[in-house]
Amino acid sequence: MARDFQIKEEFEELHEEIWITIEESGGEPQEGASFSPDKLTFKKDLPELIKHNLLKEKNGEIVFTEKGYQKTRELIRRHRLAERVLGDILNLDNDEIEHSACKYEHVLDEESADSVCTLLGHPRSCPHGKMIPPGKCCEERAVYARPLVVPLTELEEGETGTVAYIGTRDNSRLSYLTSVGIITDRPVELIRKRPSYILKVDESTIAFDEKVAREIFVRPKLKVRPHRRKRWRFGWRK
Amino acid sequence: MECHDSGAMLREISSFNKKYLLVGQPNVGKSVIFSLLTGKYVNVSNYPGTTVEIMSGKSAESDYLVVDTPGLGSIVPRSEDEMVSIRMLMSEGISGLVQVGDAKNMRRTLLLTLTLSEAGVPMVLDLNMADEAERRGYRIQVEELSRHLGIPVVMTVATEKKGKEELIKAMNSPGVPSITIGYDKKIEDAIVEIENILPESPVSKRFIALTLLSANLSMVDEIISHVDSEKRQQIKKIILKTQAAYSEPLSQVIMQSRTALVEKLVRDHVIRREGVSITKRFIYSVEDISTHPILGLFVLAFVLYLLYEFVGVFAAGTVVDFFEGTVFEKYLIPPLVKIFSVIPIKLVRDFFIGKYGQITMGLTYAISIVFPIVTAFFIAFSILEDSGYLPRLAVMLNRGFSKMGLSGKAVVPMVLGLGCGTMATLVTRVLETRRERIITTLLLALGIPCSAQLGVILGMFAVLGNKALIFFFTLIAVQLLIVGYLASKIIPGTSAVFVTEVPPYRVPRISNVLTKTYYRAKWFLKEAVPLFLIGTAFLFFADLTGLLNAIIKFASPVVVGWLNLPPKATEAFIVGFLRRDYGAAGLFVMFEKGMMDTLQAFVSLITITLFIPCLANLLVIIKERGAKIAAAIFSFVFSYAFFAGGIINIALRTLGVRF
Repeated sequence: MARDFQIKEEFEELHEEIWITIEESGGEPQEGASFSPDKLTFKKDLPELIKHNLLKEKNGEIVFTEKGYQKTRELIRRHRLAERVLGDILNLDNDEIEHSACKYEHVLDEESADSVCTLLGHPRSCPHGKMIPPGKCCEERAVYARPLVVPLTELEEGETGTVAYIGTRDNSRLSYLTSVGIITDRPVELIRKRPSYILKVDESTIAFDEKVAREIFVRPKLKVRPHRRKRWRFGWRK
Repeated sequence: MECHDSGAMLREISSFNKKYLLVGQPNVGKSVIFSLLTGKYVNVSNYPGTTVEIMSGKSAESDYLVVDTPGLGSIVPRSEDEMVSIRMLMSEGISGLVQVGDAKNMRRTLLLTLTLSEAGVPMVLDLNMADEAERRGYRIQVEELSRHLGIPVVMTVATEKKGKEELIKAMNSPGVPSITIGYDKKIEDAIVEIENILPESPVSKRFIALTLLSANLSMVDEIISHVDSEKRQQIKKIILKTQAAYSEPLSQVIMQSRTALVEKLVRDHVIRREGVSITKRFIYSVEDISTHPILGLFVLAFVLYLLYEFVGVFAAGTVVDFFEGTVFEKYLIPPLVKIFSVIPIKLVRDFFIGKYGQITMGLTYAISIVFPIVTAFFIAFSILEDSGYLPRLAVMLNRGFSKMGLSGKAVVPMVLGLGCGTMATLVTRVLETRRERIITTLLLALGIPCSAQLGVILGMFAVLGNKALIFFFTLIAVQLLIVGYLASKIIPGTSAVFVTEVPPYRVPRISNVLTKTYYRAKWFLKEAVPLFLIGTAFLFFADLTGLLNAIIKFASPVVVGWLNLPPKATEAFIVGFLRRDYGAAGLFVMFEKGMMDTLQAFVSLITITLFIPCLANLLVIIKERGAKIAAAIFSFVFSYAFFAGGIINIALRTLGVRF
């Protein structure tokens, strides 16, 4: 996404600071939301932002413009997603998160932020419990699920998908699974998760335990709730 | 069944002019094709991995030898039996391969075809189960496919003997595959490098190179054991170097090139008509119930109930009554007794018709009690085997097995153990780790009653009632869990994973069920009955010399004191050394004659079930696991059976349980 101008890193810090100030005063960050500039660390840069039409003066208060709000929202989103990655995936403690997230957020662009968000399963809040502004990917999920690679263990019974890859280093297991037809891009249907995993691939039915299920990565199809299937199913419904 | 070790097998193969190797994935009907080509009987079942021994037979029509191999999932070996198939493939003097493939699963079939095609050996592709493929709406352009691959392709329905002539014709003029697969540059480079090191061999060096590149490094030595170790090291270095260039395992990279070509072949030559038939929908529902975590247990209970009704109530009750009470006691025994009464020497007379007489005890037990029960069980088990229920049972039991440190794959031999423990011990070869093989062998020896024994047990429960039966199975299952759990803690190693194919449900063919039952019953008469007679002879002489009384007296603290059984039960345990079913039959007769009450019967059944395996099984354990482990298993099982039997006896008496 082309950016109309490259804001310097300290301006980004200021944007984030404003957002947090609004949040902490109990307000909802949005276009026209006001804040008290007194406590800001980067106060001196305010005129610069006003010059770039990111903030404006309204009734003697400084408020977000639409452009400024969107920019800030995006920055906050990236920052907090970065925190989640560092916390959830890299397992860093809170201090380290804070330290690294500021650097990491600048690496993320909008698209990669969406991928990370999807990868993390559209988290709603950062490790500190603050809201992560939802991105395009989060809204789209309500309409259709993006192709997203998950291990079989994440699928529900009755769900279908296509094989993405087999994540094992064991050559003999890998070639066995390939030989029974678990091949990249082949459609599969997960019949059961208990008492064992049962997967249908073409005309074959393969049963395996959870250890193997964790190694098979698939792209789930449209989420179809199992009980909506026409096929008569036995079992407890959720 | 005839068993060969692979060394002897290879020698036999080299004495023939034309030798064909039957290869293919498990459960595609290799064994049926084998029987069809050679007229030799092999046990056929709807259960992947039941062929563990290599079988060979002369073709009935031509002068070539056909060799059946255990199922080959892929060319990368996972277990001992697959390794055997691969070594056979690379051995001297194979004039051709016959790949048996599943016509409805063309992707899988062709993937193996392409892999094998690189061996540069003349080949025939037999697409079996053509009827199932047709029912599911597949149409395969056989001629075009044949041209594309460069080898004859035929379609067969082996169970109905359809396509046999075409197959034989194709085998007379097999083709060397002309289709070629190109791999990534680095892989091709590595192939050339390895080819330069490898010595001349009956199959193409390219094929061996690819097999090595696809295999786990730890298997390289095994696959090319004929190559000297320095060269093996060089090859390993090349593999490591090549692997370093890819983030994915080499097998994946190689497989990708093959699957791409398979996709093209399927797109070009396989036509699919969509639509789900009513029968298919019905089968889906059955599928759903029989593997359902809760309903599946009811299905299992129902299957056991049918088994109990058929084997226990019908065979062990009605049929045995008829045989024992009418045929033997009224018509057979009296005239035989008369004939043998003319023998003047009492000792010889008693040997045949005395208390421990060959006829009055040995034959009567074997033929009038055990034989009908076993035959009924063989019928029931054959039906279960052919229906495809057994792998689903494995799916159901996998979780419980993992508690015992076993993968669900161990269910295969365990379930087969219900048929014959000896055969099942052989099947432990399909297990991937030594640890699993030991634990499975131990549990088989300990608590899995074989068909003959189970039949007799079911017969006794027809009287004890089905509540007692459920209690019995639960107790045995608990014993297996305890011992399995402890064994998994004691025996070092990691547990293997569970992956198995679940074949479709099939309606068992009456002819196959009858053939199987016939061969199994024949085996019983040939192998088991002599042991009954030997056991009886032992009792006879032991009685004569006073040894029997000494043993009974010696065992009395355990049998009478600890287990609360009548002293005569010791006899059952003695013959139980030879065959567990003979032991069980002894208890059966004692119970019939009112020498034991229901509680005693129950305790004696638990003990004899946990009791040491029969002689044949013991010999196989020694052969497969070595004398040391066999001795350990033997002594453990022996003491554990009496220990557990006694504990259960005391518990039941203390709690005042009545059946």
